[in-house]
Amino acid sequence: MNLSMKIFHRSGVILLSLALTLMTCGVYNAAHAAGVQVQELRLKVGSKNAEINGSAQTIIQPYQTHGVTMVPLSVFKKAFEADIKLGDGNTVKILKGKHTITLTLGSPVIWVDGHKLRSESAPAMLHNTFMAPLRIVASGIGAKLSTGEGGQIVVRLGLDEAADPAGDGGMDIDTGKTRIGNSFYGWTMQYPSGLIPGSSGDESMATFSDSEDTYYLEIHAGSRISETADVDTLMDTLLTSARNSGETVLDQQVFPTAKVPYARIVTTDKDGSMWQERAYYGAGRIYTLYLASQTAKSYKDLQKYDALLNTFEPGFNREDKSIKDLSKVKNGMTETYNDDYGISMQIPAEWTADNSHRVYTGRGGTSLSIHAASAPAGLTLDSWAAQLQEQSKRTFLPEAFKWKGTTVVEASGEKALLQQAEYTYGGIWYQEKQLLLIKGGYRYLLDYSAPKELESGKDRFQDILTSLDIDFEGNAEILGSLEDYYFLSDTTRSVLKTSNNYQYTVSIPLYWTAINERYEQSQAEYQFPGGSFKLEADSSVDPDLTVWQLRSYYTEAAKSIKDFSLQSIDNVTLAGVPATVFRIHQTVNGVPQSKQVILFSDSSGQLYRITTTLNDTNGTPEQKAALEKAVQSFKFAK
Amino acid sequence: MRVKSKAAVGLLLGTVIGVSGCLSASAESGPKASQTGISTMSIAAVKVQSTDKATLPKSKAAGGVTMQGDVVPQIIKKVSPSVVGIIGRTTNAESKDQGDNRYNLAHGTGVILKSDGWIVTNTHVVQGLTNALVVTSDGKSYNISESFEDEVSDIALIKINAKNLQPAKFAASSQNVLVGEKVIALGTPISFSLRNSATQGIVSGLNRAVNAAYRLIQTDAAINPGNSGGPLLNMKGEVIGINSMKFEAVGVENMGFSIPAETVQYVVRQLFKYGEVNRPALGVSLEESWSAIVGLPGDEPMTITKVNSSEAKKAGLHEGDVLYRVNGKKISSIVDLNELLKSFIPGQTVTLWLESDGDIVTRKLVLSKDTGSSEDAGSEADDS
Repeated sequence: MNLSMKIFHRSGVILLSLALTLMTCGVYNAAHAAGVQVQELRLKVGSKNAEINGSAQTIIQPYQTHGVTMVPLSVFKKAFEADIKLGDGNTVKILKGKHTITLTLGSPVIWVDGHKLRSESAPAMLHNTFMAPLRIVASGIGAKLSTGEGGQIVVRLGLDEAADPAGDGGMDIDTGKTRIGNSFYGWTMQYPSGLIPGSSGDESMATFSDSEDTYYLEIHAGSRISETADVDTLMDTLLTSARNSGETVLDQQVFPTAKVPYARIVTTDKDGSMWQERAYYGAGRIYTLYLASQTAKSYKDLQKYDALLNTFEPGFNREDKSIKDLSKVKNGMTETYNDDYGISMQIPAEWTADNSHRVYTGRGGTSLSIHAASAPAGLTLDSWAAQLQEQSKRTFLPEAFKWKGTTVVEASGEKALLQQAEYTYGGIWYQEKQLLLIKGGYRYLLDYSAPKELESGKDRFQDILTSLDIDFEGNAEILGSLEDYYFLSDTTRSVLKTSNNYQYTVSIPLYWTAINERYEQSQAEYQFPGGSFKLEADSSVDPDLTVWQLRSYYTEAAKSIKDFSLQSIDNVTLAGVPATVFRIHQTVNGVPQSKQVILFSDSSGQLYRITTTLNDTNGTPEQKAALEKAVQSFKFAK
Repeated sequence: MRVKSKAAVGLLLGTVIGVSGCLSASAESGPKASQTGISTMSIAAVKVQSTDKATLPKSKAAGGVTMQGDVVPQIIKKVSPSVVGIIGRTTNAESKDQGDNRYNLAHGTGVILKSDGWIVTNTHVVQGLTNALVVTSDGKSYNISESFEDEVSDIALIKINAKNLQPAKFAASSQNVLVGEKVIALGTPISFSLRNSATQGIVSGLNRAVNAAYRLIQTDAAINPGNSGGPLLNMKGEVIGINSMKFEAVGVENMGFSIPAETVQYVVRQLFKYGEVNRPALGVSLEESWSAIVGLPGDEPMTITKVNSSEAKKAGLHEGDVLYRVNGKKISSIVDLNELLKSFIPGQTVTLWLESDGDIVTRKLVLSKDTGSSEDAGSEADDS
């Protein structure tokens, strides 16, 4: 522990910057935006009017003594963004790019980049302002002087000369950053020197504390909405969130005429902490700010943070170099990391990442899943690819699945195989891209699915692939023998599941994926390619009545609902007891599928319901057999 | 609910706590607290014979022989009569549910300043304390008759109706204190029955700017809740500071802080004269630089973030101005400024050196009165 870092000055006075708008930033941007290659200062001896990069400015009037033109130092800051600092004694430093000029009040000696020069006239105070020899300072920072019309002195500095040297910037990585924000989520706020950004896995939320540990701030960016939110909506957003988290509202106000209209509430939470909460709308999002103070006792005590909060605004100016960008999003992509298998990669920023299950989901049916398992001895990329192709034949009918070829690519520095395919569940077609990689005894599969017809620029698979980085060495250290049933090509292997509460067993194929397995709480549900299996015990209803109700419901539905047909109602024997099987064919979201509902009850009148679905496109003999085997495996305990 | 991501902050290690004791309402602390029996303490003052030489440990005198030259017991014996315990009922908001709990008490320590009953202590010891009792080392109890509190410095002055008390001797200045000098802390740690507990250590550092308006003395002498307001003594038996807080966290050891004698004297003089500290302010809000916050050496100046007083506006100060010097003295932190302002009163004029939008300028500023609000630069009101 580095104790010296832990001692903090704490003034108790919260000193926060108001809008500390730096002139220089504006000038800088103006110069860049216009493609201007030169920064220019025009002034005249005896005149308060100067022209800086084309705009008029008032300055302390320059004067001449011993033939030397003396000017206030602000002209160098305003025109050329030089840093002006007061040093020890009566010295003043002017810093610009690689140049340093040191002047001393009353001394004709001037140091320029370590060279001693002598001015005919020493720096002096005029109107309580430090005046410096123009020519020697301007030349010192690399500017050129010339004479303009009407006795004007023109000072020009080329932008290449103006460029700051690419240094490491020292320990303060935020030198020169006066504002902070997120370029992806589009907001900006003042960046006081005591503000400490926290870390958050999700960039839509930013957290802050201050070096004195007196407050805690969160800024949330909502998802994009197409409607504009007015202050009433903003207030409602705050009140709803406060209500849901059990906070008591102490004060509520809207500020419709503020530069950016906002709503504000002050609340106290269950722990007694006091919060100031604000909601803003801009750039298609609602932004909510939550500030908690450890010291506030009244809602008025939170007003001292207004100085900071009032600087919040939706929007982010990427050109403005004085803004610290919290966003890691570059080119629409953000970093995600799965700790378990040491996999890092870039995914589209708007995707939702579930790193614990290694499932990454975008909108409109786009998703990526990652699977890792031990590679069986002798497995090659080609033999594995063949297995995956075989696997698809067992789960899709030939007309619903087309292989589009295999190519060799490089991923995470290793040779990998990219298999492409197209498939459908009966509605739209999807594209599938599978990346196969074997390394260090493990195999890795990236399985990417997206609608076949994607808007241009929406298919980011190549970007994901390029960014993929797997810690093979780390995995070799940490991981043992791993199996992922996703790779299981045998659809007949199954395991026995037991419910002690409900006294039954059922065999579930290993290649199915569990949605939930709450056997002791009456419910279990599985998915497999194009189908599902659900088993429920329901003690709240009368079995006979349920059968009767379902019969009349389906009969009625078949008459009125398009693409719905009740194919049969059969009485069979399951697990040694009478069962009723409803067989239906329907189209759900454009996907034609078969569904069966099987109802039966045990000797105590407990109702059981098994519901299965299987898309027509996935009705392979293997899948049908696996489903039927699972249904028939249901047995009551003896 | 929102989760505070503390780990990300990572900079603040310890919690600074004011070290006034607080009896919990647990039944266990009851019987123990009643065993107040340190009445055998001798009041006879012992002259301290020597200073430095006597502090040398006589390690040869092993085997349980009394170290005759050790000055520590003599100092403790000499100063203890000048140290008092202060206890009372607390009325803080957090414990209002237990308002009728008779164990809802807090205590601290005080140092006798004058023989007629003036005692100096910490503001956080006596603030909000009701039905308070001052207990002297001879076991006598007194009510507090007068009380003046300064939150900013955390120094308070209380009066009891007593006579012929033995005042402690305050060091003229703690400027002569050396890091490494042996010190003794006297106080009432944890339980009020532990009045006049003595601990010893060294001065670990001087001029520390931590969690306070003014600079502090750092010591490794054990300072525990209840020690607040007690003296930190040098080997002459002089009070060099009033113990007021410490860093407290797992992994933090022996980091106590004491308000230096001259700050105590400054506040006490002001309290006697005005009944409050007539504290000047620049009338602006100031923001310290990142390097000052981190604690890097250097002289990165502060920035004016808001101009509050009419005097400051009149002087031509602006938001964004960078403050370098006040009356020729370089200033880079609020604590620097507060220390400097000790020698001024409101209404006096100071000269500021600033960088204002690139110009190096001087401004004459009439100091305004610090009203204790966050609008005044300098000072603070921090309850730890």
